[in-house]
Amino acid sequence: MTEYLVKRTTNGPLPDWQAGDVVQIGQDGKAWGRRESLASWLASGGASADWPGGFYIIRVPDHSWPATNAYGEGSVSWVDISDPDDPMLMAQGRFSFALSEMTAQELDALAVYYSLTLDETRANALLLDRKHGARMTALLGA
Amino acid sequence: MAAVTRSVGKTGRDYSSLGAAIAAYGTDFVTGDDVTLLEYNDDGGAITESAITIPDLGGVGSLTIKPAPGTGALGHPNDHRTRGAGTALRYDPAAGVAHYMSASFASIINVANTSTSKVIIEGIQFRTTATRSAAFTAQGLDVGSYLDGVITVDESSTANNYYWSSPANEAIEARNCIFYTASTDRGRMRCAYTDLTVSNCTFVATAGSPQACTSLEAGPAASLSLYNCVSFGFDAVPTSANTLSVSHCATDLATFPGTSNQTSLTPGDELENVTLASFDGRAKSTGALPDNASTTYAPTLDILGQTRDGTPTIGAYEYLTAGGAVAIAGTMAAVSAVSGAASAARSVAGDIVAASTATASAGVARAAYATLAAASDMAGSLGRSRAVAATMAAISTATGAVVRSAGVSATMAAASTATGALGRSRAIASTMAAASTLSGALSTFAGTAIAGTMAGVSAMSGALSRATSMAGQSASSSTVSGAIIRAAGVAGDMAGTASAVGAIGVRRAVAVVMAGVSALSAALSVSRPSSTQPYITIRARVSNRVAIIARLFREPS
Repeated sequence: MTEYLVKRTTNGPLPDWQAGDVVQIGQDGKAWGRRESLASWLASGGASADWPGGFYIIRVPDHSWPATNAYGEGSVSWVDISDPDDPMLMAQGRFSFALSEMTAQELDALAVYYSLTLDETRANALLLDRKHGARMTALLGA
Repeated sequence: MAAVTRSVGKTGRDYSSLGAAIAAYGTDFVTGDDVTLLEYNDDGGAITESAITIPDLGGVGSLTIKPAPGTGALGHPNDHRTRGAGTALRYDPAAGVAHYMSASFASIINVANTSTSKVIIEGIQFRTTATRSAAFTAQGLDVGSYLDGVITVDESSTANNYYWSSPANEAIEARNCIFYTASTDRGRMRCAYTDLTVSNCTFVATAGSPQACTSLEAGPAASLSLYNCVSFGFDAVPTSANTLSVSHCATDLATFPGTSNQTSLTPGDELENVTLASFDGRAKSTGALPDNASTTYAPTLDILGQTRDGTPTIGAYEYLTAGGAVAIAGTMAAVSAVSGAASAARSVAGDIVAASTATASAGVARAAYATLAAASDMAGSLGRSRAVAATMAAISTATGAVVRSAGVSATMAAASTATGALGRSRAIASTMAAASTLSGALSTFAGTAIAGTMAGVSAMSGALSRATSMAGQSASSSTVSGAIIRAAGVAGDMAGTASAVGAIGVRRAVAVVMAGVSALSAALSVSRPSSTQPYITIRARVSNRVAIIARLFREPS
């Protein structure tokens, strides 16, 4: 299983973080930080009213870790190589869940638990790869 | 603008990666805040990162990234700079917090050139492995940004340059850093539109750079100052399109800009190891790096927190001769240990936190100049001046031979102990808190064994010679025992249930007040009795319930 640390709010226009962007990924059972996961926050004694609420945890049991580990390799969305001697232009949020397309039930779960479990089909339909400009469903041919 | 501190690590921290912590801008903290990320080395392994972009802080807030004091969850040190001078100086996740990125065409830390962000990174290690990857592409830095004690390694033969730069000619720095790369077609640090000062850094291209690459290159309006730096494996010299100030650097090239440089060196003769796999950035004693840096530009401390001596070493690491300046000049984290011979100046000049140990011979000046926290020990031969010049916290111990000046010149907290031979001047110059103990031979020629206050249940035993054994106050239930010779045994107040036992010689045994239930026993010998007052045993007021049991002598008439 793969767990995705997902940005809850948009910080600004690209390349800044957008709501739904995958910030980090982890293998199932990853010990998320107490300010990353509501469950970790509460387990550490934090009050629910004080939860900073910056992230969601989206779990996809069908996503195998070795394959999705690649999602964590950089958040590179595009590369500007107009001058080979210049550093590469990078953007964050290469992978992003389309939160705006989630069902009411999915959004309710996120609102209450700040976490959600999706099957592979649903996850791939929502997951955008900005570098290739397509949903994972299309990229994987599913 | 608020000061915000958050933790980063793998076990029970606020954030599990640096990237996640920085992504929290906008929710957990905002760009106007002064944010400090304290990093923990929880498992001795690097934290895997994606490319991280620090947002535009708008010239108002700041971001500081540094190790937390002490160790991580499994006891690994957080700060690689505490590894000690006896350990290879290279990227090592076991030695301190480290970040690793496997992505290509990316840098771990990015600051867009449209930003004005004050970024400070201290004591952190970075590693990249992929093509056109690098540790930093920081182009939008604000004044006051700096790198200190950072180690980076880029293992790809096509690793990229760094940028550590400001878009607005702001003064930024890099000092005490080690940058080593396997790149064969890229230099290291580049800057543009920056007033960049690089001092005592070590740049090594382990594979050599066949193209015209430089260790430093400053852009159109940049001012570049390069002092006391090592530059090995590059085939071009630092350049600047604006001003360039270089001095006291070391290079394998035949020529180098500036003055007082060491040139045409063989890198393997200068550093312990210049290969990628076994890199060790410590300067060799037999090379040209020691003693050839400029004191004007050298930071006081090197990458390991060692105090640079009067003839500093070129590069991030200060080579100190055995028994040179300071063994440890910074903070010793909890459960740390310093052992072996540390001579000359200070053994530990900074703070020793809880459960730390400093042993062995420490010559000349101070053995521990600062605070010994709770449950700390300092043993061995402490020579010359002060053994402990500052505070010894609760349950601290200072043992061994302490000669010359003050043994403990400051406060000994509760349940503290100072034992062994304490010579010369004051053994303890200030306060001994409750349940403290001072034992052993206290020999003083002219000084005071205890000049301050002994709190309740304190004890002082052993041979107390010469001048005043107790010049201050002895609180309730205190004990002063042993041979007290010469002048005043106790010159101050002895509170309730205090006792002074043993041989008390010459003049006053107790010169002032003995409070209730106090006891003064044993042999009291005086000299030169007068014909009218042959015995001067107690020249003080004796309050209720005080017992005096002794044999009183006088010289035969």
